This record gives sequence, C-alpha cells and structure tokens, in this order.
Amino acid sequence: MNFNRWRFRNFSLRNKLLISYIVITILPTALLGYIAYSQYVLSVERQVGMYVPRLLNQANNNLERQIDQYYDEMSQLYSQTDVMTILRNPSYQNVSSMRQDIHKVENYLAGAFMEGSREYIIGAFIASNNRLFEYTRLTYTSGYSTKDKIGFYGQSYILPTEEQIFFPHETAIQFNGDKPYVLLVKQIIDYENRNNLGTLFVALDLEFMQKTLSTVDEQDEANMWMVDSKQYIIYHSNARLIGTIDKEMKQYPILNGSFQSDSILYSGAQSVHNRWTFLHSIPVEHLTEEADLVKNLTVISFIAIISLAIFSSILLAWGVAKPIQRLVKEMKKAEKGNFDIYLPDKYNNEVGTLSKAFTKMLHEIEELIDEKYEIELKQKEAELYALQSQINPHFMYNTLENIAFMVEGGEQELVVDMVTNLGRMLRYSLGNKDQLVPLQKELRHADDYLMIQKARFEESLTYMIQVDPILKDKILPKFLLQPLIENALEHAFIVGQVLKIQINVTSEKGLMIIVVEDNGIGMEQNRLTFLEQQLVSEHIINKDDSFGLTNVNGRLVLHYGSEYRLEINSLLGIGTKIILKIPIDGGSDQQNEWEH
Amino acid sequence: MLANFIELFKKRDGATTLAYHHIWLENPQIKWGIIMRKQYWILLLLAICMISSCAPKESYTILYEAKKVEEEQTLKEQEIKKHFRIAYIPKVGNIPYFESVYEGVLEAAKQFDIELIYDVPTEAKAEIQMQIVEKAIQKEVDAIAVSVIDSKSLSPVLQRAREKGIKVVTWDADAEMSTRDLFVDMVDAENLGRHLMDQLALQTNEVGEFAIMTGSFSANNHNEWVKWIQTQWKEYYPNMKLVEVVSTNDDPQKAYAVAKTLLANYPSLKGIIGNSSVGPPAAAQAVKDTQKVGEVAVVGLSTPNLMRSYLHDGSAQVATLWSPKKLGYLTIALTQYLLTNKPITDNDVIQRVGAIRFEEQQRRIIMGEPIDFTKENVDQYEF
Repeated sequence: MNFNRWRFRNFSLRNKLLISYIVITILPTALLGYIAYSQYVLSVERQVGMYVPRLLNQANNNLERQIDQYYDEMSQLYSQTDVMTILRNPSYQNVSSMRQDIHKVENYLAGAFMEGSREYIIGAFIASNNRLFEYTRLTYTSGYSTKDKIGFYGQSYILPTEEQIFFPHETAIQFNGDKPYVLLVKQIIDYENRNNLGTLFVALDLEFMQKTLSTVDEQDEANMWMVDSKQYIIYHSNARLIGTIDKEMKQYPILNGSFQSDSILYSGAQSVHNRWTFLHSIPVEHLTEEADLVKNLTVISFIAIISLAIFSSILLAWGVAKPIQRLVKEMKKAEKGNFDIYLPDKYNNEVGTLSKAFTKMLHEIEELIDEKYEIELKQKEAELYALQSQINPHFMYNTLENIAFMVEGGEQELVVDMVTNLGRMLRYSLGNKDQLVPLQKELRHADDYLMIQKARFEESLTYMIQVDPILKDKILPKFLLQPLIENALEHAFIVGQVLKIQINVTSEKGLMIIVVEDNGIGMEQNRLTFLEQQLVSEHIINKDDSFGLTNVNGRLVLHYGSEYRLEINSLLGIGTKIILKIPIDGGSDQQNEWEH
Repeated sequence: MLANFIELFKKRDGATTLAYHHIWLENPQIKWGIIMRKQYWILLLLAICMISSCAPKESYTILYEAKKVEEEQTLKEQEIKKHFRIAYIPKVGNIPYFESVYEGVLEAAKQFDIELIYDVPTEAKAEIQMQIVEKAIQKEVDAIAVSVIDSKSLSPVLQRAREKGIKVVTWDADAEMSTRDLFVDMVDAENLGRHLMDQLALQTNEVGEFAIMTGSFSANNHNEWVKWIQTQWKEYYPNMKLVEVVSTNDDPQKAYAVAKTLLANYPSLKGIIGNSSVGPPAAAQAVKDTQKVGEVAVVGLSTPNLMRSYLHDGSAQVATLWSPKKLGYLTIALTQYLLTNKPITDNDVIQRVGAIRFEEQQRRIIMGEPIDFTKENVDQYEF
C-alpha cells in the first residue's frame, strides 16, 4: 500500500533524523518561548492591574483630602459671627442696610475663598433666605434668574448630606469659556438654632484635579477619566471628552479593580465618600512594549537559531544518511551481480567501517568466485583434455589391423603412407601442449584421419576438404574436427551407399564457419531434439554415444561463450550437417581474460 | 516541511478511506468512525473558529478586583440599622431648657428613624426619675438617654439597665462613670465655671459681694461648675466676696424666692451667678422687682428665650449657654453611634453638629464652647 510510505517508521533515515531534530529542538523551544512570553505578559497585566487601581485609589484619596480641605475652609464660615448674624437675620428695614450686609458677606467670600493660594476657586456663592451673595473670578450664566436660583438653593433646599459635590451637568451654571468645574456644596446649618441658614457653593476649576491626576496619568498612551454614577465624564485627560457620556461604562464588569477588553487594560477606583469613579485605560501593548521588544528579538533569534539548527541538522542527517544511502545503493548493485562498486574511503566513523567491511567482503566474494570459477574451469579443461587426447583404441586397433592386411597384401607404399599418417596423428595428439592450433594443422589432422579411414573403408567412403586460403593460419581449439568426423563415420553409414564427408571452411562476418556434412543416414527428429538439449545443457561430459559432439560443443562454449554452440541439421535418410562458428581472432581476448 | 505534513495527512486520509471502504459496507458503525477521523481536522478548525468568533466582542476579563471594604461596611450598617427604641429622660419636663433639648432630640429621632420613649419626671426628684428608668428597662428599650438628677440614687439602676444589654447615655448631668456607656457633656466644666466667674467680674469691675444660685447640690454638673467658679474667684478676684451658694432645685418659683431672699439678706450684693437655667431669669426678675437694675449684675446659665427680655431691659447682663437643641440632637446621634457600633473619636465631625471632643478614658463628650448671649445677639437665638 502506498500509505505505508507515510508511516514514520518507513521514513528514510534522513527524514526521521530531520523530524526528530525538529521535534526535539524546535518544538520545545518554541513552546517554552511562547509560554514564557504569555506568562510574562499575563503577570505584567496582573501587576499593572493591581498597581493602577491602587494609584487611582491614592488619587481618589488625594482628591478627597483636597476637597475636604476646601470643605474645611468652607466650614470657617461658622466662626464668622458677623456673617452668621447676617445669615440669621433675613429681614431688613431698608435697602441700604441690606446692601451693607451683602457687601459684608461678599467681602467675606472674596477674602475667604479668592485670595492667596486658592487659585482653583473660580467662584463662591451663598444662597440664604432669599438672598444670594456671590463672588466670582469669571462671569457666568445660569439657566435660572437670580430669584429662581435663590428659591432653588436657598434655605429650603435640604441636601441629603451636609457636604456634597455637584458636577457641571447637575447645575445650570456655566462659566465664561465653558470652564470645566465642580461645585462644592455645603449646607449652612445653624447648629445652635437647629435650622438651615442656606447653602454655600464653591466652584472649583477642574485644573485642581489635573495636578493630582498627573501623578497617575504619566504615560501618553494612557487615558484617565472621572465619571459620576450617571456615566457623565467630569474629567478626562483628553479635554474634549469632558462633559460627554461614557457609554461603555455600563458594560464594565467592576469599578473597583482592573479588567481587560481586547487589547486595552482598564482600571477603576470608586470614591469612598463621593459619587465619582476614576477610570484608567492603557493599551496592553504599551505595557508589554519591553516584553514585545524582547519577544521580537527572541523570535528573530529563534528563527535564526532554528534555521541554523535545521541547516545543521540537515547537514548532520545527510552526513549520517548519505553514506548509508550510498552504501545501500552500492549494495543493491552488488546484489544484482555487479561487484564493480566504488565506496569512497573518507569516513572514519561506523559508516566508514561498514563501507570498508562491505568493500572488503565484496572483494573477498569476488576473489572466491573467481577462484572457484577458475578451479572448476581448469578441472573441466583437464577432463576434456583427457578425453580429447584419447585416441580411440578401436581406431588404433582397426588402423593397425588395416596396416597388417596391407603388409600382408604387400602394399608397402600404402603402408608407409598409413604409418606416416598415423604417426602424424599420434604426434598431433601428443603435442597437445598448445591447446590452440592454426586451422591448417587441424585440417591436416582431419585429412590424416580421413585418409586412414579411407584406407579402411576404401570405396565406401569419399571425402573432401575445402578451405578458404586466408583462414589457414587462423587459430582454433585442437581436436574440433576429429570427433565430428568420427561421429559421421560411426552413425552415418548406409549399407551399399558411398558415404560422402565434406568439410568446408569459409569466413563470414568475422566468423570462421566450419561445416562438416555427410550424406548418411541422418537423425530422427527425436534424436535431434535430444541432442540439441544435450548441447544446451551444462553437463559437458556424458557417456553417451554422442559424446564426440557434446565434447566439441562444450569446448566451444568454454572457449567462446554460449552463443557459439554447435548447430546440427539433420534429415533422416538425407544426411547430417554440423556447423561450427568460431570468431576469427576473437578468441584470443577471452582467453586472456581467463588467465586472470 | 509543513507542506509535507499536510500532504502526509491528505494522503494518509485518502489511503485509509480506500483501505476501509469495503469494511464500511459491512459495518456501518465503523463508517462513522472513519468519517469522524476524516473530519477530525475540520471539526477542530471549526471548534477553534467558534471559540474565537462566537465570543462576544465586548468581553471583559477581570484581572484584579479591589476589596470593597467600604461597601461591606455600609452593608453592615444597613443590616444593623433597624428601628431602635430609645428612652429619653430629662431631669424635668416643664422648663424651656429641657423643652429645647427635646426639640433637638425629636429632630434626631426623625432623622435616624428612632422610636422615642419619652417619659418626664413631673418634679426634679431622684425617686421619680428612678421609676421612669425602671419602666424603660421593663419596656426593653435599646438605649436610655438620661440627664441624671441624683447620681448616687440613679447609678445602681443604670447599672442594672446596662447589665440587661441596654446602652446608657447620660447627658447634661452625669452618673457614676462605670454605670453608663457615654456622657454627653455640653461644655468643659472648668471652662464654663471660670468663664461664668469672669463674666460677673467684668460686670462688677471685680469688686463687691456676689452669690451663686445653683440648680441642686445633688447634681454633679452643678457642683462641678460651682467648684470652678470658686476656683476662678479665689485665683483672680481678691476684691470680690462670695456670700452664699443657694440651690433652686430647678424650680422657677423657688428660684425667684431664693433670689428675693438673697437680695434682702445682702443689701450690698453686686452680682448673682446662676448655674442652672432657672437661676438667672429668676434673679433678673427679682432684681427688676426690687428696682435694683444696674445695681446688681445677673449672669449665668440660661436660655436666650428666658433671658431675652431681661437682657434687653438691662436687668440681666449676660446669659451663657450652649444650644440645648444641639445637645438633644447630639445625644441621640451619639446614642445611635453606640447602637450601630460606629466608633467615636476625638475631634469627630458629627453631621449637623460640627466637631466634638471626646475624652476616651472617661468616655465623655464635650459638645463645644459656651455661647454668651447679650442684648446685641440674643435675638439670633431661638431657644
């Protein structure tokens, strides 16, 4: 199945190593880095989340203390017996005495609230018993007429607590230039008579807050604002937003503490005594700026290290895997029978040792094979040689008998020829140190043999040897022809018919073609098939009567290779034709090889 | 590498699908297994998308929540705040001073939603007051606010009340320190005594005979004041002579009679100090009736309402007092403090009263400084 390839254990060693390196090095580092970073960011957020509300609380406290100071100053009114007396006496005999009182009270307001370091007070008012005393730095407008104002804030107006803060949207007063302010309100209670004398208002410029808040509101990216319970923004570090509504506020989960939305960290602290809430927001990325820088650096260096790691792991994996892969390749080659392998000798590690061992092993195998091959070859050669060099005893007997007849018949000349021929044959047989002989000599031997046989069979046998003169000196193995002729003489005779044996040697396309033809009895198809099988089979030696043929065939194959087998054509009753093909000069190369 | 991995899963998936295809037909339940496997990655992706996209955009994660100490406190206060029942017991009911105090008490009771058990001794007698306190204990009030007529006789009763878990607050006149939880004093006794002496000396040019009309000899506060008046006199005014200290029993008739007697007994008398609210008006009336206006100076503790006419016609020179309304209010306010376990500290600013002093060891409150009422300012005050 194809998917087996994708199982890890089926991966190549190189890929396994690569994946392992990556899994072992990159993943843990990346994970570790990620966890460290996110934990750091979280802890920074938590810290800031705890720290900012405390700061805001401090700001709250500071502000409350400041406001308390203003209230204290407002309480000084009680010690002003003059003013208290005026406030307790709302009825006048005439205008001038009323003007006198107004003058006194307004003088007091100016002196008490407008002088010296009280720079943030922009106006002070006392509404009492249908009278309004006022002293302001800035002109102001109000939605009400003076009379209404008095009615509204005058004696009858009872605050839930003695001291209270009005935010701008809760009053109708508007100072020149829309100056943002808060109104500190204090009920003037006549403690002794147990009744309300009126209300004291002090308008405070919001700038007094800025000073307090600047300690918290340091960063440019941070926003800080103050809202009342109705989401009205009393103060905002972005001045344009003062007086608007904080629409998001309803969704804030808590107002005391810190919470996070998207990438903004919010903190809040509610005033204890008053109705405001301080809120602070800062983009998280601003808090983690340093961490982000570190993160970016880390990421860059991480990538660098990773690529380096991958690069080196590739190198390393290749270093390990490549020689092995080459080894595998070469092994496969060797498996196919090609021992001609090359393994570089440059590694000194296990792979190198393996390579060396393998090479050595191959060499040994090769040597062993060669050795065995040669031994076998020599053995066979010896066997064959032994066989070929035998002069058939029957032949000797027959020949000698023939000679005996001839001597008896007094055919001395013929005897001399016979004996010469026989002597030459024996000499050829004995002088068999040279395995290869020129064609000429082999043909001579065949001629000698045939002449002896002719002398024996007389008219029953005729023969003819034809040879291309240029082939005379060409070399071929010894005793190739004799067994073929023997074969013909043994099997081909038809009673009452002259046996014609013809030997033709021609050249064709670099091949010497020797044809031994007879007009004898021929062979049955079965016999021919059997013979052909014998020729193809490995066993050269058999004790069959076709021994001569197989012997020749075996030697041809031994000398020139399997494609140079004997060809036998035979038709029953017509004759047999045996064809030998021998490469002209070609044999010498192969012979050289054998000697290795 | 990543591409490889993706390829890997693709191929693997395809292969598995093929491999198991024939099994599907036989075992339908395996089919689902395969499908699950096949869709696993898609499902995972979907899940991630869901988590990241389905969450509301305006999600706030709380990082830190400050302890809401203040809120808890107010909650507690609200829980404790119930309908308290306070027995308010003055020395005597039918004189303007205590009526003024009662006005302040009512104001506070209304503000704090307190049920007042108001029972008044018909006479300034210790036994009557004791009975009233006993009655209050039986009614199982939450607190008793009492102006003690006789410290000795009342203290054991108050002790019993305390043992029953009733908060005891004395005001105007104190009981034994151990028998009450808090004493709301109007002014510092030493200050007041010395001030009264100074006022008289100013009117008589620091010479001549004078007499003191005290409320009663059993009242701790009156005795204290008398003591400090005498201390001041002995220290600074050798040319003056204290002829007699007499008691009025906080009874206007008796006071008038006593004053008449003093004027008759000491013809060369230059001044009279009254240290309870009935004293000075009675003395002024007597001075006026005996045509000694301008001859005998009258100073002392009394309310503006009682003294207004005498101050205007010159039969009395200075009246000194605190606001009894304020005292009433403060008493109830502080009783409320005790009942709700609200701590009281020195220089505390009490709503609608102002700053008060608190002597922790003696558990004694000093409401403030005395006010002098003269012809000029007496009309500002309505008590």
